Amino acid sequence: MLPVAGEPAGDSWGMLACLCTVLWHLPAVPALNRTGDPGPGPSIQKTYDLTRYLEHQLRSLAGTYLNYLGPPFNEPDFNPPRLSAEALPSATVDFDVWRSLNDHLRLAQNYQAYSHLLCYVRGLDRHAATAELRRSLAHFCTSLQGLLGSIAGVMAALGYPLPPQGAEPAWAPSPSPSDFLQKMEDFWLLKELQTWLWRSAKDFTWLKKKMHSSAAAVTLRLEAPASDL
Amino acid sequence: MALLLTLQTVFLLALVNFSTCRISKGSFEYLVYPTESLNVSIHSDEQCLDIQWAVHLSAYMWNLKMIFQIDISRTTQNNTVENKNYTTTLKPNESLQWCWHSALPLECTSHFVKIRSMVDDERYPESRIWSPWSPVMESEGQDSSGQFRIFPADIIYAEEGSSVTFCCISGAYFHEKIRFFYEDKAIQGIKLSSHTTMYEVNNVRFVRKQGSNAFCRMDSVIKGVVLYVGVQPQLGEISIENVSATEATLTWKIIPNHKKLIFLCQIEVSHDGKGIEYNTSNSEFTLSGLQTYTVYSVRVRCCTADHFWKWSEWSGKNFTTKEAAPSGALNIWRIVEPVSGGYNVKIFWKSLPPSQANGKILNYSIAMEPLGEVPKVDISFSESDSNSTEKFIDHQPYRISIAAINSVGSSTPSVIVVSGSAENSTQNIKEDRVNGTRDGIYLSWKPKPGETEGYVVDWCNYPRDAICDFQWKKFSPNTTSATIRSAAFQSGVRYNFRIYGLSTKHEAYLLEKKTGYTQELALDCKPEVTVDNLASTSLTLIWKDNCTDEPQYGFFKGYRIYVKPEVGGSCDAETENPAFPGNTVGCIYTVPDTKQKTFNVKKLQPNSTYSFEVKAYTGGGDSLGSIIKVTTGTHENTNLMMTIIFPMAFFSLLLIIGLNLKIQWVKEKCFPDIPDPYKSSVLSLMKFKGNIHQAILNTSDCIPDTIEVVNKPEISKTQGSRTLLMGNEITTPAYLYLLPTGKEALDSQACICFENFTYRQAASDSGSCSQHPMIPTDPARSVEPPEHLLKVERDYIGSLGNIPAGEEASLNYVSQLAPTMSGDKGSSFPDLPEPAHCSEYKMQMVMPTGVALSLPLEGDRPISITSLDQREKPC
Repeated sequence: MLPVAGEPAGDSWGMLACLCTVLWHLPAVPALNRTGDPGPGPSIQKTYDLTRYLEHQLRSLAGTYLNYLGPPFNEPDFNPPRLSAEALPSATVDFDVWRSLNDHLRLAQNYQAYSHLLCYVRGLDRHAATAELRRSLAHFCTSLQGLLGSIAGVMAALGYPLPPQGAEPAWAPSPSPSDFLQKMEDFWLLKELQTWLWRSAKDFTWLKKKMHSSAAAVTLRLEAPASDL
Repeated sequence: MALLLTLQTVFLLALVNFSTCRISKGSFEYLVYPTESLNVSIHSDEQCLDIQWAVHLSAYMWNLKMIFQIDISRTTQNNTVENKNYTTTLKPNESLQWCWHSALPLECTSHFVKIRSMVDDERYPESRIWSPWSPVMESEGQDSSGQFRIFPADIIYAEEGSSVTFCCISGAYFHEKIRFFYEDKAIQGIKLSSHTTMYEVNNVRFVRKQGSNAFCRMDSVIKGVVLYVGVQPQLGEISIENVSATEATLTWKIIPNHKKLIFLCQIEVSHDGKGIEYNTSNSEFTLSGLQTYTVYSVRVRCCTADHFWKWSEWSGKNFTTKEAAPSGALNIWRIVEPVSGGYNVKIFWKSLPPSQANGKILNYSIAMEPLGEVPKVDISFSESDSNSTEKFIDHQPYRISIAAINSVGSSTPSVIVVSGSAENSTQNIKEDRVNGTRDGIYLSWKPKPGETEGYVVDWCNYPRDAICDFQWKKFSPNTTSATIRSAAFQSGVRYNFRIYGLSTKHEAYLLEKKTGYTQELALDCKPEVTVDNLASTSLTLIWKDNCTDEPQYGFFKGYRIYVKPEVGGSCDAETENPAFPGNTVGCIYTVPDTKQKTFNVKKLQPNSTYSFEVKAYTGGGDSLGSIIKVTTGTHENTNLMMTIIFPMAFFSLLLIIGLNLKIQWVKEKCFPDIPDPYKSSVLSLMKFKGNIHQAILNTSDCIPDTIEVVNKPEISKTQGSRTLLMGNEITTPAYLYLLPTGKEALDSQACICFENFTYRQAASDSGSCSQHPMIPTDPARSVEPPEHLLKVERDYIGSLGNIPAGEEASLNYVSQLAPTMSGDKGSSFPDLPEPAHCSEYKMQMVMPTGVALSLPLEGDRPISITSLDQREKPC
C-alpha cells in the first residue's frame, strides 16, 4: 500500500540526501581511512540507511503525484491488475525463492531493478504540473542514483562483479496508447518503487546481520564468497 | 451543336425510358429514384457516422432536386435515434454524403441506416412520392467483441459545462458487475444491450491539468479514459494602473479562477493604427517603451495554456500616457522685409510631431536678443495653435530663439540670427528659370564656400494668394540639389524659390533664386493679327496682344506664326515643324522674341490665299490665335515688263536693224579698216622679190631721232606727180632731216633719214577724212628719190665716218600710203580709183637703191621687198 502524503517533500529532504551521499563517500577518502579497510559492513549500513531515506522520500512524492493523476489512482485501496506495466521490473517474488537466492544475485537484481526504475522516474517529469513537483522528482532521482552507486559499492566490497552493462536494457519508456494507461503505468512505477525499496531494506538488513555475525569468525571473509557461490 | 443537343436529349430520354425509375400509377407516370449503393462507416475521431449513397445516373443528368430521408437506429433496427431529411439538387460527378454526429460513441453499439428518396422538383410536381426504403446498412459496434472496454477509448476533449456520453462494454464478463466512475463519482447508466451500458456525464468541470478520469470498473479490473475539459475563460474588466509617460501596468481578472489552471493571455497594444502583441501567462502585464502623451488602445484575451480549447472574448480599454517635456527643437525659418526704419521679420515654425511634442503644446516662447549690445532679451509668447509671428527689428542683427512649451517643460530653443543688411546685400541675385516635372521641381545650387550649417529652400505653395502658405525645407551641408515636392503644386503656376545658406552662426545668406513650373501651360491670350505691305509674294504680319510673362501660365518665349495655304504650297527653309496638326499642309515660323510684333512672310505664291495665325507660345504650348486670310496680289513685274521693257526692246530691235542696214556706212565713219601692209597694192607695184618681211619697216625697232622739218616749196614744182594733188592743197614736199642725237645712236642705228613721198604736211597735219591720198601714176618715177634729198642723204652719211660705204650708198626710204581695199583686191591697180580712207598708213619701207630702181611690176600681189643684205640692219 502506498501511503498518501498530503504535503510534498521539502528541501530539507534534499539536503539530507546530499548529506547521506557525502557520508557514504567518506570511507573512500584515503585521509580518513586511517584504521585500515573496515570491510563491507559500513557500506551495507549506509546503503540500508539510504534505502530507508528513499522510502520516506517516495511516500511524499507518490502522494503528491497520485493526486495529480486523480481518482482512482489516489485511492488508498486502489490495486488494479498489473496489465499495462509489464516492462517494469517486478519486486514481487515468492518468499522461499527469494530466500534461496545468494547475496550476489540479490544484490545484482537490486542493482538492475533500480537502473530501470531510474529511467522511468525520469519520465514522470512530463506530468509534473508544478515546479515544486519537478523539484521533488529531481531530488528523488538524485537519491535513487546514489542508491545505485551504493549498491555497486557493496557489491565491490564483497567482491561481486557488477551486472554487465549490456544486460541493461537500452530503451526509454515508450508512450502509452492512451493517457489513462499512461497514468496506470505511472501508478505502477511508484508502487514497484515502493516494493523494491521495502525489499531492498530487508535485503540489506539481512546482509548487515550476516556480515556482523561473520565478522567474529576469522575465516569469514574467505569463506563467505565461497559459500555464496 | 444542335445535332449534339438533339443526340443528348434522345440519349437521356432513352435512359429515362429504359430505367426502372418510372412507376405507372393510373394514367400518370412518376419519377422515382430509390437509393443505391448505401455505405456506412465510422469516423472515430469526429464521432461521426459517415453515410454515402447514390441514385440512378439519369437523376444526376436531369439535375433533379431530391429529398432523402435518412433513418438511423441504434442497437436494434426499430430504435430510431435520428430521422433526417436531406435535401439536395443532384449534380453529375457529385456524390451523396452525410455525416451524422453521435453523442454516444459509435463503437458502443450497432447502428442501422436506411434511406428513401423523393423527387422534389418543380418540373415534376406529380413525382413527389417516396421511394421504397433502401436495404438497411449496419455499422457494427464493439459490444459483441467479447472484450471489456470503455468508449470513447481515446483522448477526449470537451468544453466545460458540456455533457459527455461514455459506454462500458462488459465483454465476456457479467454486465451487472460493471460500474462506471467519472473521477470519484459513480454514474448511473442506461443499458443499451446485454453487454453495453451508456453513461452520460453532464456539466463536466475542469478538475486538473492531467485531465479527468472516466473509467469502467469490474471488481479490480479497470478500463478508463482521460477527459480533458477545455475551458473558455471569461475576462473581467481590465484595469490600467501606474500610467506614466512611457509605461502602464495592465491587470485583469480571469473567470473562472482555477488555481490548477494555467492561462495564456494575449495583449494587443495599438495606437495610430500600429499594433504590438505581447503574450503572458500572468494576469498582469507592464507595458513599457510607450510614447508620451499618446492614446493607446489595449485589449486582452486568454486561453488555457495546456490543451487549448478556446480563446476568451477580447476585453479592451483605452488610456493615455502622461506628458513629458518636448524633445528636439522646432524647425524655424523667417522672411525679412524692409520697412521704414528697419525690417519686418516674419518668423515661421513647424509644430513638433507628437513623438517630440510629448504632450499638449501650450504656447511658444520667442526670445529676441540684439547682438553686439548690452544683453537685453525680449521674450514673448505665441499661442499654441500659431505657427508664425511678426517682429520689427532695427538695423542691427538680432538673435531670435523659439521654443515649444508644454505642461512639463520646453523644447530645445531653435536659434536664428536675422539682420536686414544681409538681406539687402543679395537683392541683385538673378533669378534662374528651372523646369519642373509632375513629380516636383528639381533645384540645384552651388555650395556656399566656407563652413556651413546647411541650406534652406523656401517658397510659397500658393504664390497667387494673399496667404501664400509659406514653406521651407532644410538640407544638410552636403546637399546641393533637391526635388521640391508639394501636394499643393499645380500646373501653370509659377513657383519662386529662394535658396539660402545657413552659417554656423545661424545667419542666413541668400544664395540663389529659382523660378519654375511643375508643368507649363499655354498662355491665356489671343494675339490679333493684321496684314501690311501686301505684295504678290510677301506681306508683313503685325499683331497686337496682351500676352505677358506674369502672371501667366508658362514662360512666355515668343510667337509662332502658322501659315497655311489654301491650295498646296511648300514651306521655306526658315520654317519649323512643317507638319501641322491634323496632317494639313502648312508652315510654322517661330519668333523667339516676345517684343517682336511684326513678321515679314516671304516666298508666297502670287494670287494665292493664305491663312495666318499668330500664337504666343510657352513650354506648355500655344495660346489662342486669330486667323486672318490673305490673298496675295498678281505679279507686278508683268505690268512693268508690258509697259517699260517691251517698248524698250522694240525700239532696241529697230535700232539694231537700222544699224545693221547702215553698218557699212557706220563702219566707214567710225572705224575704218586698218590697211594691211602685206596686202598693200604698193607691193605689187614695186615687184619685190625675196622676203617681203624684209621690205617692211618695223617701226618698233627704230629709235626716233630729232626730226627737223624744212619746207621747200620749189621741190613740189619739180615733181610731176604732184600735179595730181588737189589744187588748193599744199604742194610743198616735206624734207625730214634726221639729226643723230648721239654718237652711240649713230653707231647702232643704220637709219639716218628717209623721204616720205606719200605725205604732205597738210595732209599729215590734218588727218581728216576729206584728204585724198595721192597715188603715183608712174611707179618707177615715184620711187626715185629727188636729187636734193639724195644729196642731203649723202651728206649725212658722209658725216658718219664709221658707217660702211656700201651700206651708205644702198639705203633709201620709201613710204607710201596704201589704200586699205587694195590688199583685198589683188587685181586692183594703182590707177584704179580707190575709195578714200580716213586713216593714213605711215609705215615706211626700206629697200636698196639698186633694187628699188629695177623693181619689176610682176605679180598681182602687192608685197614689200627689201634687200637681203640689209636684213640685219633694217633701217
